[in-house]
Amino acid sequence: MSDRGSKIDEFIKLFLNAIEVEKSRRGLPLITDEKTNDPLFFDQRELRLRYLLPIKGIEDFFEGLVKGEVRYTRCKRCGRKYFPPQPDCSSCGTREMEWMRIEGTGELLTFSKVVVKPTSYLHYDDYIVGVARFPEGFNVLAWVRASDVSELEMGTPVRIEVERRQPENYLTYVLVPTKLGD
Amino acid sequence: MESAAVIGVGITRYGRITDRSFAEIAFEAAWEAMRDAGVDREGVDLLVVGNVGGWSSEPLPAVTISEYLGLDGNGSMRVEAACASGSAAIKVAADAVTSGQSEVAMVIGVERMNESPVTNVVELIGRAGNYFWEFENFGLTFPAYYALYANSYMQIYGAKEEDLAEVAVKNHYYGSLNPKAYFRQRVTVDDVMKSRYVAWPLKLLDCSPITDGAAALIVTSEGKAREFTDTPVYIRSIGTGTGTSNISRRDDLLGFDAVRKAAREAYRRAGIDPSRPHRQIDLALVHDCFTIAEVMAYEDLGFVRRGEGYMLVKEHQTYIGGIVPVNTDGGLKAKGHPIGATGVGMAVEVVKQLRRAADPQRQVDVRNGVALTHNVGGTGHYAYVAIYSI
Repeated sequence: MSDRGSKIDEFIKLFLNAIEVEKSRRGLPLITDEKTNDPLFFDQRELRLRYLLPIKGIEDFFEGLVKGEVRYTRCKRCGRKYFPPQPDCSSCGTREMEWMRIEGTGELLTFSKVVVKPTSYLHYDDYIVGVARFPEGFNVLAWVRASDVSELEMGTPVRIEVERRQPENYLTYVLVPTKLGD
Repeated sequence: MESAAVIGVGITRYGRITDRSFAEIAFEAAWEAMRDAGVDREGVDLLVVGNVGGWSSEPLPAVTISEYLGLDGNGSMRVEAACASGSAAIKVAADAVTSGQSEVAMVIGVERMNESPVTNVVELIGRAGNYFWEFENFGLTFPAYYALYANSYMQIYGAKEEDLAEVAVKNHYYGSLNPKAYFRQRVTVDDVMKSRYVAWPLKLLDCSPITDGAAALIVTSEGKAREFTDTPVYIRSIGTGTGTSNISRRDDLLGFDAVRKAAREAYRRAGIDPSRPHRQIDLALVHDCFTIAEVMAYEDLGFVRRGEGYMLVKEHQTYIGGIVPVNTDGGLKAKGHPIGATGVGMAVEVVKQLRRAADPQRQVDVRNGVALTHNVGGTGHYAYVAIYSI
């Protein structure tokens, strides 16, 4: 957990403590809005959300990650290629797919640096996301391994690599700029 | 085919609302619309609610609102098309009255985004692309999606961050003239440029705010409209389109295919020349959730050739007096963007403008008696383009 993450945790703790004090005092979880002074009821029910996502149809993708490969699917009937990979062909409606590895060098089409982050990403430093066109014939959206957008431009050559994302410690993929002639 | 007609409109102030609950803000907009239409609560036979929710506590908004308004227990539903939910709700109501399934329908767009902390709202909107492939692993945010488009647009067409800022300057100017708008203060290009990055190259003042608010319409058929009012505004067409969920599956990152498709359909059905649509309309309300979005809207709607949209605002052609006034209410940028209410709020502005009843300094010159709304859900995921006329 980064400094930023622990600061936010600290802030939330202070806020919750203030509510507890107010509940002990008057028996009500009421707070005053800091800008308008309007009274607000602090919801006493907290719901934590995590989904269980079926991946049987794209299990090969995850097996690929374990072997250091990022894989896509190709329809055996019509030849259409899919990344993100899918086990059903949206073109011809069949389910006869073969798995292939992304091997080419892509080029960046666009990128951005995310500064204002979602709650579940607050523990990361600012991150760079990009979309790259691959010679296989599709685009890939992923983080780009760079310290700032100034290092990147449209057309920057990138490879796709498997990386173990920390602190969650799970395998995903990243776009890595290659020096020309690399 | 017969058109639907808007016979009453209502809208709350937009902003960070802490003194009125979900049902209470819906009530304000709905009763204003019923009074405007001269319709009583027993006269409403269908309630269609545009709302996204998740950040607010009511999971069944249509039911909550129906009870609170004192409606008669007739049919209701919530309609979701992300930031275009309001326009989708209007489409459902318009189809219901033109098909004869409903006589008088009420549309309410309502959102209370400030019931949750900002970072949770950022997360919930960010999840509204493709969840697993774009959010789970890469934490895309709504500003980041539009930033990918902005960067692509600027690199290919040579626009600069200062050019995009001109959209914020215009829309804050009109927001300053709209008592219902969230942001009433004017800004300069310099102010926009000095605001901090949210998702490079988009800065805080390139972005619409997280907003609470509600808007409502009363809709009936063309044939019945004059029984209620002397100033009906007709919904001549609603064109629709859907983009890919994964942004990586778009052909280009310079504009939205879904919008172009929706515009073609809306123009064809309303008899608008798609090669110069701006000549037949008196104003357009477009979906400027970010400054880049308004620039792309000019191009996707055919007001200007692709790659030239940023010049249009730079040359003040989308102010009143230019080739087509755009976002005379301040747009999402300054009026605010209470997601599910936004499309309904656009319709409210169009109706007031076509009735020549907008605030005086921002009233457009009504010559054709025709106006356009352009409401985009997500990042080109849903598109609704509608043509209204008197």
